[in-house]
Amino acid sequence: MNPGDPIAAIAIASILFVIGLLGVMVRRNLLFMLISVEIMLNAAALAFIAAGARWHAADGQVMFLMIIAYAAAEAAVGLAIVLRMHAAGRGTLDADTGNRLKG
Amino acid sequence: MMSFSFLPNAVLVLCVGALVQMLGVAIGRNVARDAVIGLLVLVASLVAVSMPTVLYMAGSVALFAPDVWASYSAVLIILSAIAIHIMSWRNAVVSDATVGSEYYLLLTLATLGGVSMTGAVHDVSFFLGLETLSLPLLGLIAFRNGRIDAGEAAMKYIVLSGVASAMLLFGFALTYLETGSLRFIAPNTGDMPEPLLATMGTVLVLSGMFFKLSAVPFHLWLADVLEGTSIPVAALVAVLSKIALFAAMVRYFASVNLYMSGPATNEVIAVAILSMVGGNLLALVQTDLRRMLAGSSIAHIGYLLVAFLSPGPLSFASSAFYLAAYSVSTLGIFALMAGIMPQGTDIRDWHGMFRRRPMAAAAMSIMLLSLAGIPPAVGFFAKFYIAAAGMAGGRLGLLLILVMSSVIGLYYYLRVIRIMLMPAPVERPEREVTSPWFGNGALIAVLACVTLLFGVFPGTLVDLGRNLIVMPSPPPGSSGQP
Repeated sequence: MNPGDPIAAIAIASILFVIGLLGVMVRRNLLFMLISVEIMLNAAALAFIAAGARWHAADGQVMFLMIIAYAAAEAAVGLAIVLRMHAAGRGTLDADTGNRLKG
Repeated sequence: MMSFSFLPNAVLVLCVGALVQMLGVAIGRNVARDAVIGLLVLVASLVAVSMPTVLYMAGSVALFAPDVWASYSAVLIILSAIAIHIMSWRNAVVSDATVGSEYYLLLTLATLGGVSMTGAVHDVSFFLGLETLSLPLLGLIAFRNGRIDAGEAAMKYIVLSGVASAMLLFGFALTYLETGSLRFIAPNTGDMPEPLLATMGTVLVLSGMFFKLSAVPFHLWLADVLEGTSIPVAALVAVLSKIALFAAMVRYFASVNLYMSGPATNEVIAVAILSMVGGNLLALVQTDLRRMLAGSSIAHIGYLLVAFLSPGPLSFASSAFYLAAYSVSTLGIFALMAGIMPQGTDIRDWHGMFRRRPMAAAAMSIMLLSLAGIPPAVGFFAKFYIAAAGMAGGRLGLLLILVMSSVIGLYYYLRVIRIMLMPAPVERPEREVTSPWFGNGALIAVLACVTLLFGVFPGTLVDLGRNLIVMPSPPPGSSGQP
């Protein structure tokens, strides 16, 4: 296969993206939902790397760095919120039980 | 060429201001001092927007475009931030001495994100602005100490906003794969041999934006977030982030001919119809004032999309006018809630308000009439202007739905006014009414006067809007097509 051909990498990225999306929709554990979001973000990052390889430009790698930084920041804030909810007296990580909001 | 001068003035001022606030927190905690610094930073950035900007480009890549549309939306965003700042003061959540300073810091950071989004013409600058808006917003939503529902609201927002960001980024990646350009503009699919990837990219970007704008069918988080968080932050979510996203969306689609039927245009039309009808139906059944405002906010996004879908000289002008009218009225209602009855968010708590607080009830009625689009208030002219744009663009079907869903809207806006006119039922104890502090009272008065004045004399804002026709356009010299 031509190493400059990004189709295989895009296929893997798409599969990762769908896995992440299904994970967010199916899993009910808050930690697993956060991890699924991270998988979706990594899929986008992989797609940028593949696209950057196609155009032989550094832009894709710049976006990759930005996405990694964002994913780290989001995970930090998300875990902090989970910890705070635990401290406030919510003993479960299940997204379905003990909801205070009507939605 | 100086390396730091590629930022617009307001972004620069807000960056420095945020650093000063962080320094303040590091030196010592004093909520009053930090609140004053925060207000000064916002006012300074307002001054900075109005100064002429010459942007240097780093290399050949333009990150920001200092055009009229960016300045207009930035002014709107900063004014909303100032209003939210004023209504936060003396809020029980914020005046807690152990955490109050961070609240104002996060507010400045969220404003910084919104302002940088309005001028972004590159995927990187848009993405950074978007996340600089979203991450502080998460902190603000979860701000109420020891409240589980605030944490739940923040959790809902973080998961859904993460999904939306991933969609946006995947869309950007597909567009980049097809065009080799990271310009923040929808690719022109007409002249491509295989437009499939670029089209998918555009649709994904659009879906991500609708998620963040909470348009139907991506709206499920908004009502919960508004209910779970404190009132000033609810105003921030409902007003500031929507102005920023809508401004960015208009810029992204400046290149697309929205008359041509394509996947992107069809998606916008479907979302506009669903938002107008769905938002109003959602608001219709709510008993909580904040959840009702969430529904109303979704419906107003739908009305804005009608203006967005009617390209022509009136399109930008009418959406600019509508954004201003929506922000003023919605901020007014939230300021009243924060000032009069911070705990009384149930609509039934407002029984007999005309007897207990005639001035507040009158101001509330003006805001509600404006949102409903009834003549003396600015909302009527705003809706009329959108209808004119729609007529000029030939969007008759959409206008029909706009009118019909506005009629549904009349019911729940007027229901609140009716409840305020009625005496309280005896079996339900009256909730205590507080007096807003001086600044919040002045804010409410100013917002009510603006709502009425621009409703009666809309000429000034219309003239302002006419200047927006020529833009927004990305400057030449952005990284070009290969």
